[in-house]
Amino acid sequence: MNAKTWPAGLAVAALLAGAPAASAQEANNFILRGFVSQGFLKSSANRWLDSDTDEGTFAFTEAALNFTAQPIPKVRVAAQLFARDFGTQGNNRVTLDWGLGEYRAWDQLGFRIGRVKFPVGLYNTLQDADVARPEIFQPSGLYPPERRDLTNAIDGGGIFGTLQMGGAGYLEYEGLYGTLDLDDSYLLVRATNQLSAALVPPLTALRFSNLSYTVAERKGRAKYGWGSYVEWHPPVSGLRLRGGMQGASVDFAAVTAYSAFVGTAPVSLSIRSDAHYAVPHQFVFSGEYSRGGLRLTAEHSRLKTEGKTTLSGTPFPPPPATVTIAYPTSTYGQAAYRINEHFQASGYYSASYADRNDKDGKNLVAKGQAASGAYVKDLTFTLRVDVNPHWLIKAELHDFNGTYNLSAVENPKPLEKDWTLFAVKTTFHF
Amino acid sequence: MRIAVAALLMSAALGNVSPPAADESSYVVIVAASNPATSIKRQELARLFLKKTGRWSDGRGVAPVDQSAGSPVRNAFTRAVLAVEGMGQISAVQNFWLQQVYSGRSTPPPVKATDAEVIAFVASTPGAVGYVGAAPAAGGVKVLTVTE
Repeated sequence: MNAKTWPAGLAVAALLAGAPAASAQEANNFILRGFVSQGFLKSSANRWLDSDTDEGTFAFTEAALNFTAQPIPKVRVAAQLFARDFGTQGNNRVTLDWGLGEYRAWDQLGFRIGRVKFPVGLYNTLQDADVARPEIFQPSGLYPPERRDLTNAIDGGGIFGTLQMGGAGYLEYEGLYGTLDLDDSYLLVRATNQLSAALVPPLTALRFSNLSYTVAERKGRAKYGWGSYVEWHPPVSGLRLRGGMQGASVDFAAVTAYSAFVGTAPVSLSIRSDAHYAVPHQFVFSGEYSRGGLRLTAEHSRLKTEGKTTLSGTPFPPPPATVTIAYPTSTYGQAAYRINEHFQASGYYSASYADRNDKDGKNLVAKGQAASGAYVKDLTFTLRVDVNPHWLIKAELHDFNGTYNLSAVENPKPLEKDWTLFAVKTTFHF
Repeated sequence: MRIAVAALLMSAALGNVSPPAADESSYVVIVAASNPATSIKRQELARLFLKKTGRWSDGRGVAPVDQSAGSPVRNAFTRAVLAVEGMGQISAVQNFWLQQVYSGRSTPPPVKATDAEVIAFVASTPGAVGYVGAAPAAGGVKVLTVTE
């Protein structure tokens, strides 16, 4: 447990407890909302997202303050401050989660500028909105928590609108383009740790002994990211169908200091890694049907990724910077049913693959790695209890098969293929 | 089975073990007396209240106003109108607005506690549309007929 988690979480809870009882502060077109969450995670094996889930951890806190103002009819400004603590991530540092200005000239066309939530699939914009979704962790293939810092929001602008189609229903669309600084992201830490660890075997082969390393410098940036979708609401009550497309280009750089001995002589090395990671395109197809308290959802994602790493400062000829291409894919189906105003039960089954051309991991086995690193299948059940309009509790059980969502660098013990994760989380909101 | 029993016990403890009783109250939709519209299709009305459409047919901006979540008239309106968008329960509508607010996409209509407050809002706000439990006798508003 992170020692500073409880005091921070309780402090924010105390602040919210003192908030007025109204569900939101509404005056003169100004709305203020907020929430604070505290959770607990326990996995049967494996450390997930660099968190001590195998031992059980309370380092799972979120808090947000959200405001919206509409000074004149066509103009809206809104922002959310957000703090989280999740394993080594966040450490309760307050960040601008998103913040935007919006001008809706017509129903058919509006403009947004600022740090805007990224539209991937039906629910990516709910990543930091525990109160607005049935589950604790969204299906990880479509909404991978390890990439949250990249996929949550982007600094830029875009267009959106609604097009009426008479008897055929209506269309909603959105397009967004921008850039993003990733210097403080977990994604950067995870990627550069893996880059640094990948150099241990070749250095050890050079008779370096007692090898240790620290990543002395990290830099990360999304040169660009873009997202778009068209959503059709046909004249069938409760049905919506969406097709989306997005892409990104990301650069990571790390300088890693290695210390070792060659014989009895101490040696130190500084090796620079430059990694370029690109998603030329990702397609997401989604369908949702709601009726009464029932919501059924299915989403499918397929994308192409390109990776290239360049090394400098190595004591051996650096390997050629070849481009590695993969085709990850993911599908899930979810059912959520609101039993009454207090209870909502939901479950989903998600299957994700590192490369749709190697779903059973034969290529990994050929490289001496475990086949289970090629996939992860996740069967999840959640019970959400809305104790009252301002307090909810969720309990969730994941049954995983596969380790595609895990980092070997963050797991000193060998990864276990079949594992479970139990999560419980409580949220106060106003 | 044990889980189901436990859920029922918890639900009973929370005071709501049975589904909501069938709502027998009614609603009427009102706009300002100066609004040229006399009728509106149910689906169009749902889109106005969910802010999928922001304009009347004559181009003026729409300002929907809701009633409190616990009010019978909101329940009736939700079941009769917003159900065409798959949101026939107030909890579904509230969740829709939570999603809109926390993703920065939109904001819910203002909420008024009584019919009188809704009537006052509609009468004084350009483009406003609301719903009340019974047709108002006066007050600068008129009833809009809802058609299929």
